[in-house]
Amino acid sequence: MRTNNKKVWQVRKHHWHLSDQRGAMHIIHLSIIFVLLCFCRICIAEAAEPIKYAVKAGKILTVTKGTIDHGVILIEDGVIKAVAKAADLNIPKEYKVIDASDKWVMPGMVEIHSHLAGEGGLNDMVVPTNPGLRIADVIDPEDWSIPQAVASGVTTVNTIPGSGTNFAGFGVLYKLHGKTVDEMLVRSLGVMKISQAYNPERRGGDLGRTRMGMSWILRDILNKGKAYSQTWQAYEKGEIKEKPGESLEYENMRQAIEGSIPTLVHTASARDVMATARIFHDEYQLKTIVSHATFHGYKVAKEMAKRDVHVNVGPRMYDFSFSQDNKFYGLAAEYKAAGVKNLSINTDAPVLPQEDLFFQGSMAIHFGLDEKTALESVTINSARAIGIDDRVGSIEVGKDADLIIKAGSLFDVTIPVDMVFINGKIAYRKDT
Amino acid sequence: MRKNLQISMAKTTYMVLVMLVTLCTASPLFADESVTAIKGGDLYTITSGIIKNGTVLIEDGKILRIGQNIEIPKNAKVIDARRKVVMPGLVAATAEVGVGGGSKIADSLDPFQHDVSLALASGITTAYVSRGGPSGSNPIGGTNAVIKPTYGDLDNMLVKESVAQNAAFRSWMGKTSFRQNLRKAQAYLQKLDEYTRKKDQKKLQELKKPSGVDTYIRLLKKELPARLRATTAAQILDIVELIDEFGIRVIIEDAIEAWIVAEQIAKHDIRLIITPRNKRRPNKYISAPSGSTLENAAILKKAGVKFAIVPTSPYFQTWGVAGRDLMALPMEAAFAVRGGLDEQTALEAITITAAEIIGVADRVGSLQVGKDADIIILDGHPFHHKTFVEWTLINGKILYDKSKSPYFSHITHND
Repeated sequence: MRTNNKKVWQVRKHHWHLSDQRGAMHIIHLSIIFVLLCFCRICIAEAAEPIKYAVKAGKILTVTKGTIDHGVILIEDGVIKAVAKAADLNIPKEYKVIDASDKWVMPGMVEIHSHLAGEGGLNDMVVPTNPGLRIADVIDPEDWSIPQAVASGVTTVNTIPGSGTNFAGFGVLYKLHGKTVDEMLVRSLGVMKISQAYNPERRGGDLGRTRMGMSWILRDILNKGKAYSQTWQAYEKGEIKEKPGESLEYENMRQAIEGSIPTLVHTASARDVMATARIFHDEYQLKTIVSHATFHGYKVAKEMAKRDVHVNVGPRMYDFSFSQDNKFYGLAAEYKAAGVKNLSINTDAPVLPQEDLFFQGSMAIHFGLDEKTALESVTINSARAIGIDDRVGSIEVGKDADLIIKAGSLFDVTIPVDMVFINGKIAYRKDT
Repeated sequence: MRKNLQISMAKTTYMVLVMLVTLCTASPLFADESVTAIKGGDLYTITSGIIKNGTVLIEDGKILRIGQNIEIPKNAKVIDARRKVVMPGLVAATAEVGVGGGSKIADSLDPFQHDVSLALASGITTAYVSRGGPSGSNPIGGTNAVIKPTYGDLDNMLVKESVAQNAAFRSWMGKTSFRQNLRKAQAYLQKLDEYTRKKDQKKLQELKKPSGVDTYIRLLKKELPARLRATTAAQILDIVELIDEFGIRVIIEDAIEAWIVAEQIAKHDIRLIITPRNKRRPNKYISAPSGSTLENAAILKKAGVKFAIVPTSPYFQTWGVAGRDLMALPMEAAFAVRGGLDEQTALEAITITAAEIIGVADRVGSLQVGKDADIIILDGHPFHHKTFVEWTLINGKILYDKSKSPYFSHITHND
């Protein structure tokens, strides 16, 4: 069918222009070609993108279930059908074989603090709290940075609004594959995005230019959201008869208040990281992602380890300015050493380019983090933090086939990525 | 009294004897102590391959010998470099280090700057620094120098002053003025040459040098290269045109789109300073290639272009963003390798080629006998993300020792 299609393409090229003088005959030709083309399109889709792949790997880093040398991954309908040692699995005929037997295969990376493809919609700086705003509507699938991010192995991204206000709106969770936001979407409300301090105070206005003011603003909106949620829960349980009024804003917030989506808090420094843990985790019992967690935030790392919060480090990767002993402290390494298990790494793209997520991992390792934790920090840990570890973040049967193929460690800067799968489709292939 | 004198004389005689004996028997020993040996490492010489399990001997701040079977003089100071990489100190072709205020760099060097000690910890032993630059419609300006970050030692800091003429070639006014001045200088030189040949003393006496063309004369005589920034292919071609007309030497900084005009750059022998990760969006209004690519360095290499690599930020930053400033110069070169460049050329781009471009390759940039003993010892390959500098030597002296410095001594990789 492929050769047929090629011929049709040539014909089309030669006869395309309607001003051609052969007139009616030509239109008939064109119609035939059109029908043929329609037919062939289906064939092309199948020929170029078979639904079933068998990836032969020199090494599979499953992340959650150890490493398999000389393994095979079967992909069907966008998900992982089988993961096994090559010796234990016969590849059925209908699978197209991707030979990566001299390479490593690992899960696609998950970024939870990014502003990728959100240009022009990050900060609506009129009022300090904006629970009605969603960045899902801003995402530009044509963004120049997306193909580069894919080529580096980033496959899932949570794009969030900025930190210019205390409550900038809601992030969106999506795959880097698809022509429209709907095609890409994993969850339209990725996270509730809060900013503790170090930026929101720049917004003018009456209240919220100090940490006191900002904390009041945040507690006030959280109380309102909580009240709305409680009223609706009571109504749904039949405890109250009268249907409560609906509010788009609080409807968004309800998901965070009730824990179906996490709350990602832009915060940094020992003082503010602690304030984040106290307010959002202790007081309001939200699923809290302590994001950035930079400057001297690591000095309260033990407090984070005690709580069920997730620490998402970046884009800064070390502290020197606040260390007070002339030492460079690797932030991820310090949190890990203090016992923080829910640890991930971000780029805050475009603060750092989205494609440098792996490099953030390399730098975390440079400053003392172990390689295994670094890999978890850009895959399963970030997936878990955002509540999609049942779909992405590791190579397991039933999960989305989001894979990176590379001739070595993800963190080795000198080695380029060879191939990236998203939802079982080849999203990137290196030119050879 | 007399007895005392006798005793004292005996003492003196004894002392003299001891001194004589020491001088006669132990003088070779003294000489040996001035020798430093770096023993057992993999020597990345840059200019003549990798010598496994080799030794470098250093004397008087210079490299004395390099090789595998070198006898180490008794009592030489020995640095055990087994399982380490030994290579020339890194050369930063653009940097901001060790220079305080003031317009003359030689007078504003500050060997106690924090940046100087960070440079040592990052393995950088030579750096090009500049002050000021062209302003307004003036296409040239500013001063520059090559320095070594010899912490606490002002005397050895300055290597060379004025290694290039900083220029700007962006505004049309600047361009026009640059051309006009070169033409003025060219016309003057032509007349000077003509009258000298004809031995026309009268005309030679009458000939007046136009004002403000001294620098342009130096450029025309190729005593100095012009150093300017040109990111787009069009800007680079402007400079190509200038070389066609005047035959000057040029160094282009931040040549993001150089890959598009690599052949012309090679043909005109332009030297480049590039940052593989620097980005430029493709111009969607033109069908010709445009924008940045990680393959820039690889394409340039294929075309035969000489280039140095510098990081996105030419500073030593301490505010937390990792791997994008001079603290991680080799990482930027590693990204060029990711884009298809061979490892050897990438290493050259942060050592010998960088040294060539800033005009100090006769002294630094490779492990060669007779060169300055500016050497770094690493705990792994320079392009590996785990690698730290363990020792940095400048002019044969250990100026940085990871285990004794607070910066990174607490960081170890156990996995």
